[in-house]
Amino acid sequence: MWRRYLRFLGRDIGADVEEELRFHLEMRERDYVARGLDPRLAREEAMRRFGDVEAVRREVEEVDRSVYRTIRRRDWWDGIRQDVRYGIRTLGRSPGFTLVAVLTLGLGIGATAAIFSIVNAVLLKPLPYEAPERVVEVVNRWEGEPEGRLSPLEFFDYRERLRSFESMGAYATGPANLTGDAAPERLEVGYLTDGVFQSLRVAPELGRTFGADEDRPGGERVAVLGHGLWTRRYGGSEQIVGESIQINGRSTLVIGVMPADFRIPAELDNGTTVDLYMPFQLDRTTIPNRGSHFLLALGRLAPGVGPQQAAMEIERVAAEFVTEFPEDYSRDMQFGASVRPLTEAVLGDVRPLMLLLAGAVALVLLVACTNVANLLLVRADGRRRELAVRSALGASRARVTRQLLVESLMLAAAGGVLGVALATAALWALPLVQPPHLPRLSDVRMDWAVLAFATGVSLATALLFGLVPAIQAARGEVHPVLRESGRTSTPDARRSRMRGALVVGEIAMAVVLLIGAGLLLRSLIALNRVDPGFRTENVLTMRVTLPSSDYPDDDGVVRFYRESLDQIAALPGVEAAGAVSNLPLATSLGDLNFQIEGREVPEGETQARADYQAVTPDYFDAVGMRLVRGRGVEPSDDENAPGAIVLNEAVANRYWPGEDPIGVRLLLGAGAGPGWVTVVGIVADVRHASLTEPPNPEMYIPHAQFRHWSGGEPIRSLSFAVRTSGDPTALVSGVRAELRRVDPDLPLAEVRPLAEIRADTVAQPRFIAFLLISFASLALILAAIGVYGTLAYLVAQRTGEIGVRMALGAGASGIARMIVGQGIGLALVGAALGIAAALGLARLLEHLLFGVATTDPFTFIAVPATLVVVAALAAYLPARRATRVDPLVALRAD
Amino acid sequence: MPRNELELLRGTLDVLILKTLSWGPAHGYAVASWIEQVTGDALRIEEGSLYPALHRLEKRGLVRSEWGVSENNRRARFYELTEMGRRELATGMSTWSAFVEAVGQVLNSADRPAWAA
Repeated sequence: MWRRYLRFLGRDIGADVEEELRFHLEMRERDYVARGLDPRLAREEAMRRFGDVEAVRREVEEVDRSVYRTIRRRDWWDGIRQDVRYGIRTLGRSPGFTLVAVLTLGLGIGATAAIFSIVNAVLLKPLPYEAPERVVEVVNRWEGEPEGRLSPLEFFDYRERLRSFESMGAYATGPANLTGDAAPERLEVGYLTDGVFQSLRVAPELGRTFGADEDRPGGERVAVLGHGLWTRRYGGSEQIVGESIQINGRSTLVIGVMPADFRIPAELDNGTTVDLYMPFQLDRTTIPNRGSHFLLALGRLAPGVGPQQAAMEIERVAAEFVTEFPEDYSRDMQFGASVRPLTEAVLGDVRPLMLLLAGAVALVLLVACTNVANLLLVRADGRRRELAVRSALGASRARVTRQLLVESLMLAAAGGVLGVALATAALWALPLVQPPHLPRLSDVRMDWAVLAFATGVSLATALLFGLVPAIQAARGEVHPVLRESGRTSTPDARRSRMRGALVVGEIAMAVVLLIGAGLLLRSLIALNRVDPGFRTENVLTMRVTLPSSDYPDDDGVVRFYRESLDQIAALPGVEAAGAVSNLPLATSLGDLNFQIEGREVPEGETQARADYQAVTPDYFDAVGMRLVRGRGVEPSDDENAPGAIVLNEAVANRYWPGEDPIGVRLLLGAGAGPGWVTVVGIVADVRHASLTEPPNPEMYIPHAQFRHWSGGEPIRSLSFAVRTSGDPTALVSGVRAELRRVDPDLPLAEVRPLAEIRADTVAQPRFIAFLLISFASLALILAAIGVYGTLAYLVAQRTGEIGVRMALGAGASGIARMIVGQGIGLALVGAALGIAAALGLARLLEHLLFGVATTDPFTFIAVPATLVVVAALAAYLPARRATRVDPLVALRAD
Repeated sequence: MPRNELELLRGTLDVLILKTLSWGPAHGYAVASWIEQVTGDALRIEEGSLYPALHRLEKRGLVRSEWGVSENNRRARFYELTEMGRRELATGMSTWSAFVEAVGQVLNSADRPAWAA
């Protein structure tokens, strides 16, 4: 009903009001005059009776303006509603186009949203500490180790001397057994000194944390539960605070529970989950040397102190150590120390990875947008007559443009909804592809941030792909189109150039993604071919930790492992059973100095050094390590036998190049132990740290003799390795039963096949390769659709021309060749551009690649070749349609 | 005029305008004249206040307006009651009657209140 008034309301509200009021005043004046009043007085009287004319005029105008605004708004929405209805009709009329466009956008937006949710949780969200940018990691530095840990004495000295810190703490993690209240369970315990909670400043969810009172030698045994353990084992009961639990057989008072998102930096960094936190209770009087570096340290900077300032101060203190304790810090150790922001320490490694994924998925989204833009352009050509008719019937250009943008927005909205659904599904399926450890990956979920992001991306894509056709339509030439005699119109050169450019761009981006995926795949294959020096198939592994309360001395520990390994070896199907202090590819090793008998150590130089392992007899057989010379560790190398040691080839080659070290005697730990050990054998190298790094020098000490040089302290925690004749997992229950027979209270941890450990080490490259291959395949399919769509349209447009050619004698194969040739031409230009871009971008992959160059010729030739073949196939379908053109029909249509 | 009296009047003025228009379309001056004629000098309102009231009624959809030609051949804005306006008038009239009756009952009552007995 309002539309009727729009014309005059819209004309000039001010003039209308003016006229209405003037009419009133003049009428009144006339009345007075008619009653015989003097005209001048009549005018004055009329004004007086009216009141404040100016105020009334303003008030009325304001009312009318608000009416006008309401009408305009309502009209606009009516128009949009009309556009939407119209859009639904037109989109419904071409379901094929709509389906492909929505699917394309859905895949693009879905992939982007999924990656964003990962990047957001892992990288973008601040660390769960108060003012995390003020917390720094404190690291030592020495020859070959830029990020070394601290020894307790170093930590105490740093804490005393450094002024740059408001608080400072150190920690380490280790296993412990939880018994008593339920089935025995092996826990990962975070041992924290006073200052860790204080530096991170995280309030407990329940109870309290601990400080200097408990963190002192002989302090009370207390524990703060992690949220996971609390809910898992104690059902989230608040009663647990104040109760005592049995940790390693000793009563420990629970004083608090940490919130769900609390993690100490080590958990974020390497993916271990700490179940509970206990005061470290380090005793500086019982740790005589400064050489055993096992503490991670962090601190909160004092107000006004920056990381650089703190780094300079700690460098100075480290230099003091070197002068004060020359016997602990040799010159060629090049000892130093530094600090770095915790965020950098924890997230620095994953940032390039996250950026790579974000960049790759952005390319996919761009390809998707390009594709839809292309489809829209093709479609816009088909609709030129329709739009021209609408224009002729009075729709303004703005109106037509808006109609097209509304359609684009509808496509984007549908794509966005589909994308969010796909992203949700992808996040749900994330664990199925066994992603690698990424800090906070478990926090990834579909949340408001992701939804907001997906909405923004959908809007942006609508503008990206919708703007070009809309602009073209807006400057559309109405009359020429109407005068054209239908479909024989020759394709507008500008439009087809635009479409060609879009397809070429699409292909180039697909090539970049495909080359990236190809390089990562080649690298993954190379990784899987690496010989680690042991055989992973058919080996079951698990870890056992003996509590000192039940196994107070070395004898008990040695007896336990000997008996349990004997029992396991007797199980049917077991070929060899051994144990080692640290399984390869799963853990890092400590190293140990040693002296070689008969060799002088020059003043100020480091003694010989190698990583060490404690092994039981049969361990080498169990994991399939190869004995090079001499013998392995035998049952006779027991606690009473003379000390024996097995070296790997890396040790032998470094310290005895061209010689045979068998029979040579070594003094381990710089003489800390009571005696000499004799080299009895050489084994082949094992890649312990990772598949990609060359093996380290490593020495193997019989577990039973460990106390010869460790001062009587046994290694309580060993990993079993059991080689079987068949499926190793089938053996789990048998091994568990045997161990329970030896010690019913003992929990098993990390029960898994050795092959799985190896697979875990390639989890990250596998994950990245998987994602990039998915993205690249998607881009390839989209590019093929782009080529197909463009050529199919060209064929349809050129039916007349093709008919003429055929009438003039051109053969079907010639026509087909022409069309396919065009497709290949587009692909070649796109591939060339893509190769050029990939040559530049591949350098970003350099640190992710193993055994393949960033300019790998195979990838750089095979990938574009594949793409050209795909483009030719995509061009073949329209080409075949072109050959079916009947010249008579085509010409008669004119 | 005190403010609360104005507020009271505004609602009353709306009903008066609607009642006036119920006789047929009219321009603002005709509405003013008719109200004046019927009430004599009993209701003294500034004629200017009529126009914001008319336009507000239009905004609420109770009247609609159209430019037409007046009895003396001048261009004038004519107001007409809408269906909604007719309903509003009916409601306004019954409210007004109820109000008048209630006030009348109090003012004409012979009974004393209990505390004054």
